[in-house]
Amino acid sequence: MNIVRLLTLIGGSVLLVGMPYFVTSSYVMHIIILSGIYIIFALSYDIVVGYLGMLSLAHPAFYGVGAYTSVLLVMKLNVPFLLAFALAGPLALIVALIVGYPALRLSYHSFAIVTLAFTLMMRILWINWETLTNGPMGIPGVPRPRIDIPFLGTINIATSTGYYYFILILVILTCLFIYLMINSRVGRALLSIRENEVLAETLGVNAFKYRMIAFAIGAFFAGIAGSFTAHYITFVGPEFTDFYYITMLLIMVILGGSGTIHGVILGAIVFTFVPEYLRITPEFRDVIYGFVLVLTIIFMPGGIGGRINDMMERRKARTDGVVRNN
Amino acid sequence: MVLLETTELTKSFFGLTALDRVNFHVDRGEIVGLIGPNGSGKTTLFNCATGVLPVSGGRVKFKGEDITNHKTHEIALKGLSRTFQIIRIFPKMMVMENMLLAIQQHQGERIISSIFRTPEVRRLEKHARERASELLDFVGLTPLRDDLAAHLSYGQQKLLEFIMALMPNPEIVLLDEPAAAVNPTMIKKMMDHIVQLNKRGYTFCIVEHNMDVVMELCHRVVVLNYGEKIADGKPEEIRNNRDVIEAYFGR
Repeated sequence: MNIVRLLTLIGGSVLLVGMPYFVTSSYVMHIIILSGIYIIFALSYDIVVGYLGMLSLAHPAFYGVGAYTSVLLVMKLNVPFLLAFALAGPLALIVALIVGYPALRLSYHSFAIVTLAFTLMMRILWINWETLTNGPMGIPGVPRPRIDIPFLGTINIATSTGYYYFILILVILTCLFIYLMINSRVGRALLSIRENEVLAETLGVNAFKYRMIAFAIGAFFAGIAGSFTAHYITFVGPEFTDFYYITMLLIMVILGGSGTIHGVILGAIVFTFVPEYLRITPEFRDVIYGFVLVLTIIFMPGGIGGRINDMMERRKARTDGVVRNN
Repeated sequence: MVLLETTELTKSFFGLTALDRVNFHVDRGEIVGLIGPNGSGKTTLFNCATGVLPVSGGRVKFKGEDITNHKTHEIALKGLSRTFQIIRIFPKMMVMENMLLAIQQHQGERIISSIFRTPEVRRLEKHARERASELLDFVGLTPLRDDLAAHLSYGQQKLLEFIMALMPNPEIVLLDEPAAAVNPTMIKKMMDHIVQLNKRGYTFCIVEHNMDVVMELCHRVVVLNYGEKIADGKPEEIRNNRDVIEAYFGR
């Protein structure tokens, strides 16, 4: 069993590292990079929706904040890319703390409405603050990432291979951090709040504090995803804060399996690829996509991740049974 | 020494007075019974003392410190645990996980070190597991440690809730009807556990309708009726108190 695991691990690593050499089509490479962005975006959304159990509609706002932050820092203030990129996440986090402070005291439904209002407000801000954001036109010609490393020279990221490795590193770091967080005191507190808030409080959990932490960390990674996107497509505009993203994220998170890291990763990949591939039949695209969604929810109500967990458990139960019979 | 004390504690819900200037205290090392007819304010008193409900008037003191209207989680961290009339556990989690969630906030490790699992954090986790195993052993739930809490019988769930309250090693445990709807064997077990723990130094305050339990277990009994304290004394005194008999059976 361990050898199988080791081989999977090695095979997986080779596949991930060698991806640009296996995939020759630049279009497929583009979708792979998009999947990477959406993995980070969806995982960050799952912290709030899956682990915290609150329906936040503010996520596209944080995506936009991250994108505008690094773009404006690079283009208006000539800040080096790496520093600007590193500030995108923290700024989204600070904005989340400001919004969350009043919003997270509200009930489930009011919270959803307030966060929706925030998303709409940010969009209006991007459209109307023309001196800063260039209004509805957005800001084209965003420079590609240029990373200066002292004594070693400069890394220019311009090819899809470069972007691929960049997003791969980001995805791995995000997954690692979220995995550690879920298995830490924060994860345990979130779990107990989601399951029974009164009991959690009685056990000493400061529910409000942990809600703030989860909301802010979710925003942090959304900001990073936004910033990367802007520097990848070399454009930022008000459509970064579009309500469309909520639908997309909910599909990825719920059909992927909310509350499971591997499920959300799979959800993000599958539901980036499916709509792209359906472009071959523009007339039937939405119909087929809708059909896929309905089938998934019927046959995998717990999402892809939930389905995998079920299968593992059944398999474990079977081997346990065999052992016991002996 | 007074551990938990309320002075002139008042709570009203939209004009209905649920607690009317109640003076109540629990000394360290005591088992105090809190009884009274339905709706007399026993659970409300627990809820006010633990910050679940805001207080309308009066003060609550714990270990000499004013905790009136403090947040529930703050009070919990000071060493005041409680159980609920209607069982509150995490049914979708395993018994052992329930136990570990009961101590998660009490060990005081920093969030950052918890995320990156420093050796200190691992030591604390080991300690929590040991304490959980000890308590599971104490009440005989060890064979069920890897079962879902939802799969336990009602009495076992009560026991689980009871030892969850004990996990952080509290100074006082407020038990809200520990014997309600539990079979006689389990009640006997629960009483033994409480007596044993009391000998080890735990303080208890118990709301209970089962008079046999109250009379046998408690050192002192406080009686509430319509939110007012009508009696406070040794079990045998309460048994013969005219006001108490009247409150329960009418004139």
